[in-house]
Amino acid sequence: MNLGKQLFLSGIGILALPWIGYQYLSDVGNFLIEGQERTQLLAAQAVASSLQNRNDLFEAQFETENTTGISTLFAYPTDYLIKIDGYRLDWEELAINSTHYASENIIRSGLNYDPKAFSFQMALGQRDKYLYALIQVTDSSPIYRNAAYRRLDNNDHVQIVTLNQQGEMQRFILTTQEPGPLTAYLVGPDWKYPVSGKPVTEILGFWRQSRKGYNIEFRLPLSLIGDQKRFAVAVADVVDDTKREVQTLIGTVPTTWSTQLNRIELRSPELIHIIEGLKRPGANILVVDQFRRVRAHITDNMYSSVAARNRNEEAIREALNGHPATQRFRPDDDANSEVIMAAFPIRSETGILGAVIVELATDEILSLQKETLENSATQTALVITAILAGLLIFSSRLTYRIKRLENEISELIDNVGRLQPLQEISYLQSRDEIGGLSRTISSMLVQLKKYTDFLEHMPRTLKHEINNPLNTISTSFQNLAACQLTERQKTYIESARRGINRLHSITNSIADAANLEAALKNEEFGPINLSELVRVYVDSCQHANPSRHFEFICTEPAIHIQGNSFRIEQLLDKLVDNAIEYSPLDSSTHLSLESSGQSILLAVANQGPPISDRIRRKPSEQGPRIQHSASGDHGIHLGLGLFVVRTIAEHHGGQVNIGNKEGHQEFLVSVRFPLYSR
Amino acid sequence: MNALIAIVEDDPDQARNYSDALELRGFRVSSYSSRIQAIEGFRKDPPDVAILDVVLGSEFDGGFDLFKTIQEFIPRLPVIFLSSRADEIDQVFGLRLGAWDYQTKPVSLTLLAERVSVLLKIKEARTIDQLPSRDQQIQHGNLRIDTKRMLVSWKEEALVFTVTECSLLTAIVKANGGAVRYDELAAITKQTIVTNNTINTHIRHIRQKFRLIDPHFDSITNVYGAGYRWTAD
Repeated sequence: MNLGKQLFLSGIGILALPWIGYQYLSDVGNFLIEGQERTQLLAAQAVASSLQNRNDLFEAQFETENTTGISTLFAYPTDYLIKIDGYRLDWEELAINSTHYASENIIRSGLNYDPKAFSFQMALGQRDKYLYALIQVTDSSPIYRNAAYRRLDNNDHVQIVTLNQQGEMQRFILTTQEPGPLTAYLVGPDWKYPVSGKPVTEILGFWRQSRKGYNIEFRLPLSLIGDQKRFAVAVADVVDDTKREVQTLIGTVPTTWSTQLNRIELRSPELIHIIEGLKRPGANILVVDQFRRVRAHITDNMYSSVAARNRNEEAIREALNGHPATQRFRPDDDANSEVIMAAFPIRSETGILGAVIVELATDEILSLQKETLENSATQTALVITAILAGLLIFSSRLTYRIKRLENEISELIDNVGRLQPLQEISYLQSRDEIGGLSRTISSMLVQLKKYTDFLEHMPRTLKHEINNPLNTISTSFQNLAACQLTERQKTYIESARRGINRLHSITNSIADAANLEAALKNEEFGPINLSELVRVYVDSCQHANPSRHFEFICTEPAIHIQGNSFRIEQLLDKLVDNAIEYSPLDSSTHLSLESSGQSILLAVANQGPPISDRIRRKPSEQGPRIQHSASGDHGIHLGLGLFVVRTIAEHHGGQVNIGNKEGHQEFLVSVRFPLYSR
Repeated sequence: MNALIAIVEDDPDQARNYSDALELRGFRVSSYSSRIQAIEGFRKDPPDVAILDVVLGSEFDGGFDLFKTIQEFIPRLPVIFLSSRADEIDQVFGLRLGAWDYQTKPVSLTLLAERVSVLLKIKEARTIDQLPSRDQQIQHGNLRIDTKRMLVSWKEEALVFTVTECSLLTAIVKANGGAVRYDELAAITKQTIVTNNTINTHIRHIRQKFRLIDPHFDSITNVYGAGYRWTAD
């Protein structure tokens, strides 16, 4: 994997940052919500503390509920204009305070009371000088008044009892012949006949059929309820249209009528005042009594109260048992928001009076969290893009620089490892590591160049240095030879002359081989018909060496290569010299030339001893160096010869292969040239 | 009076060997071991032929520098460079300066003496302003060689050849279209050890000189593995 890719992959690790950020924000969100829970609980505690030991505020309930079973009816104040039309819509706010009346509140009933067949739910409200009521009756078979009867009680009806200013009980029946406005009559204690034929016009009522049965909505002037604020309501159910008898009577006071009426609490001003002072934006605050009835309720109207709808929640039950508790809800209609409910018990010396419930939506926190998340996501994305782009640019540049340096350095050394003329490499002025590398390589190359130059000049220098003393010796012997000498002396001088010639020849060969590469560079190349050249060459060899046998096999009349004919001849000279030198006198030297595809194979084979493994294995690494050989300077010739062959072949784009022909005592040198196509 | 041969050689042994050999063959010899000494001697007693070493003591190109100085006061002096510096670039440089020949060490004293004699003859022939006789002249198409004066012309244009180059060309042309073998050519160069490479280098120089005045010159053909031959135009 290249450097750029590695860096890029490392950079991708940065992509984990948004995830980490999301985790962090999520943690912060949870922390904030927990904080809010604690704050809400504290707020609830504050309200609860202010209500502590205020038994008086919860009194109404205590004096009746546990002793007589007659509860207090609460009429909550409302600013809402209630229209008497039987619809529930204008009761939305007050309906949360409604109470359900069923089997526990039976005044009179047949044997088989079925709450599914008959029960009702009542809410009371107060505005100006009127008491309002909404009674939602569950009744499978509503029976309307028949005008033929004078009696008022042989149909479904509502009974109302109040104590007037004088403390006298007043009984009213609300009834109708059909859905629509109700008529109210003042009736006697028997609840059968109207006291007078005139209806009571102060009481307005309406009957509207509902899915479960019917809704009754009525309005009563507060003046009808005396100072004692006593009030009771009952709903009578007639089932049989023929018999027309009241089968079930359910009321707010579960006994036959007596002076024991419900006390009506028209409002809880003190409690509401107390909690109104603690009102906070977005919060719903409720006070419930021990029976989980809502005693005070202020709402910010932003959403409906969970606690008001369902007072059976775990947190409320916990608080009523004396344990502060919090609970979270996800309102069905708003999946993005959560509501936190904190409930704190209200204590008194006598026990738990009730609980304060504070509800607050987490919208604000969640929207803050969402906003932060979006902001940070955008910023992170930008930063990551910038970092990745930066990394990409940096890595590309780094890779480019390293690649460029690599190319420049590899151009300075040819494919066989020879140093080319030095050129200044890039980034020598850079202050970073690549600059350092460049400078180190540059100085290494300079040193290497010096050393290579020394080695390359060595043979020539050696030749110059040796030739002078050699000339002294040679000329001295020549002059000596001209003197009067004995035969013996002449023999020695002749030996000396041969030695000198051989030495001269060696230094010449070494210097020629060493100069070969430089000489080749200055020579012109042109197309050569190699098959013709070799044919003429072999003929000449045969002519020059009649005692030897040469054989040339080439099926094609013309095989062209691009090259220098003299150098090819020199290459053949070396190959044939080697062949002649190492093969027996009467043996043949086989030359062959064949073209295959884009290359031409020139091979020279002769009988002879196997070539040393070292030369065979690495022919291309052989330089003009002396090989130790049993056959005197033949080794030198072989080594130098192969060096010359290789140098010329490579200069012509060819390759040399040296080996022993398998199964034969044959030595084979082959040179592969690229085919020249015009 | 016998010809005076000047030897400029910093090595006293080699200088003595040269002078002994030349004196034995009847030449007068004056030896100089440095460039300054040689200039002085040459002014005082101008030689007929000079044999110069290239490296003179600490002067790496002492011989070449000396030659340039000599030419100022003895313009037509035949000079042979005799040096251990056998690189082609040195030979080309020496010959371009105007030397008549460039021999490399070790040298055959017999052949050196012969070479000196040849130079003296050529010098004499060139001094006497006389038309060459028919037997001294080879006319082969566009080529004309004055074998006595060692002068070559191609398409009536004079070419400057060294004595060796001229001898080689003459031998090739005289073979009348036949190939002259490497060993025959080697003998003509009058050097001790002559490789095919040496011959090829000479031939290359000869061809280059022809091509300077005639880029299409192609009359010297290589007979691969054998030698060279002259092909008619």
